[in-house]
Amino acid sequence: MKIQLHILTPVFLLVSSLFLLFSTDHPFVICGSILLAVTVLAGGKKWKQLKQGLWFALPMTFFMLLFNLVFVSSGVTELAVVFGKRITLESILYAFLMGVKLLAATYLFFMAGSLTNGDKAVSYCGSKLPKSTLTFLLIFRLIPHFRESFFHLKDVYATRGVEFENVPLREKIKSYRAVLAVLLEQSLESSFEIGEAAYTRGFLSTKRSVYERSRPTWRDGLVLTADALLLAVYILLLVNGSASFNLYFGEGLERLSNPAWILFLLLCATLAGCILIANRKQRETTEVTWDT
Amino acid sequence: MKRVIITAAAVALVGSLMLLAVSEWQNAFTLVSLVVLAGVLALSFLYFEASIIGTKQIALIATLSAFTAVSRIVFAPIPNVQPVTFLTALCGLALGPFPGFLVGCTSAFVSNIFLGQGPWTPWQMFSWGLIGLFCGLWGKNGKKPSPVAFGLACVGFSFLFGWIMNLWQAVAYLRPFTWLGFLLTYVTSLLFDLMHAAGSFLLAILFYEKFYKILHRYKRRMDVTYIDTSLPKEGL
Repeated sequence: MKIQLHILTPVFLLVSSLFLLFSTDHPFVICGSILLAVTVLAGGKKWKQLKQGLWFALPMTFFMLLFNLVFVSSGVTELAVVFGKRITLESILYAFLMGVKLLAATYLFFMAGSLTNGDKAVSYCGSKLPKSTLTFLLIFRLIPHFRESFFHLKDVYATRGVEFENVPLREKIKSYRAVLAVLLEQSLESSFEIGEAAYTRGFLSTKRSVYERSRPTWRDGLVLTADALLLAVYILLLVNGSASFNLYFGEGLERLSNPAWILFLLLCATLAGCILIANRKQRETTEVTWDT
Repeated sequence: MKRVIITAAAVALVGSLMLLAVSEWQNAFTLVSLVVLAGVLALSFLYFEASIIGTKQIALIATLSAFTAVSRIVFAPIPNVQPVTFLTALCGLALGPFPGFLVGCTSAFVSNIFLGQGPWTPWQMFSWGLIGLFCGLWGKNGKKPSPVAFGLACVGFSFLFGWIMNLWQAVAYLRPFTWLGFLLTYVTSLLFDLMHAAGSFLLAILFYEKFYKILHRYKRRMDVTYIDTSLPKEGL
């Protein structure tokens, strides 16, 4: 998926989706959030992230399920009594619901990440928050450098006769301690040079020019309009009390059949569709000129 | 400003926790705490922008953050051994409260790019930032604790980190919220917190002396004293 959106659009999307998700436990809101995030991630062929989200959420869901089975007796629908302890359908459903909520939140973060263009983000943030941008830029540049330096130093030490393999753990720790201390010192020395270089180039002396000024386009308008519509419908549901939900007290069950929820889910799907349309690659037009 | 941020964050967190007594407010708490955390983090970065921190200090903070983030990624296969706690605490102690806070925040954010971003990211940024800040306040007068004392402090910080993360988990995902359930969340995480604490203690014993010397040397190199040349040069 080629990212065509302005840098602020995914930020607004993430904030509004997290507001929806964390303001209620309503199953339709959780389903809507999952629908939105999964459609966008699947549309962008982010299969790895979809799998990674499951890896995060499954152990937590299992823990919550176990916790609710052992310690929670609230609920009306009794499934069994084990050692005098009531196991209720509500406690199981709630554990599952909370697991899905965590999965939805994780997917929403992944979605925002997949919609953000790194270069555009740097360019935009560089003009607004120059110090923070420089910090993050340096970190990203330094991470591969650390890996390289570490192996380089290890080679140097090994050539000098320091043993890293086939030695007792104590010796191994000693050897690695020396390498890590040198790595830290060397990196800090180069950080000094980077700082000096940035200073002599006049960094932070004036307002930095923006190399690639990105302006909102119809794509951002489309996504933000769909998002605003979804938010408006949700706020109406929240105000009339349809969004309150508590399975243990049976709260919100009678309003599950409210047709407005169908509209809400449709709007979630529409928003996902709008994001995919907005991120569609622009058709390249070739201008043909004829020599006369 | 820093004190205002800490006090505001602490008051907001404790105040929100009090709201839990009324369980219908649990969702509101999740939202409010997220907003408060985002606000605290945004304020600290805005403070960073407005501060007199120059390019050299920025490069130093970035290098230490990258080092810390890489160490977390390297140790990721070992369950809950988090070198970030030790390194952030050390940076705070050697460089001061605000650089410590920044190193904790940024390394959590950057390492999560590799390990996975999620709703836990702002909480981790805040928790590790807080560790750097506390340690910075501890070493503000140039105090250098012994390796054992620093190791024990790291044990405390590891538990603090675990407790803050438990707070997030219990409040956001525990339904129905009960104080017993809240307590049990802390009990079940005890093993992981212990592993985190043991790892941090071991790292402190092994690396504290050597790393502190290095960081302290670079801290001294950052300090610039301007000599007033207009004064008469007596005795020359």
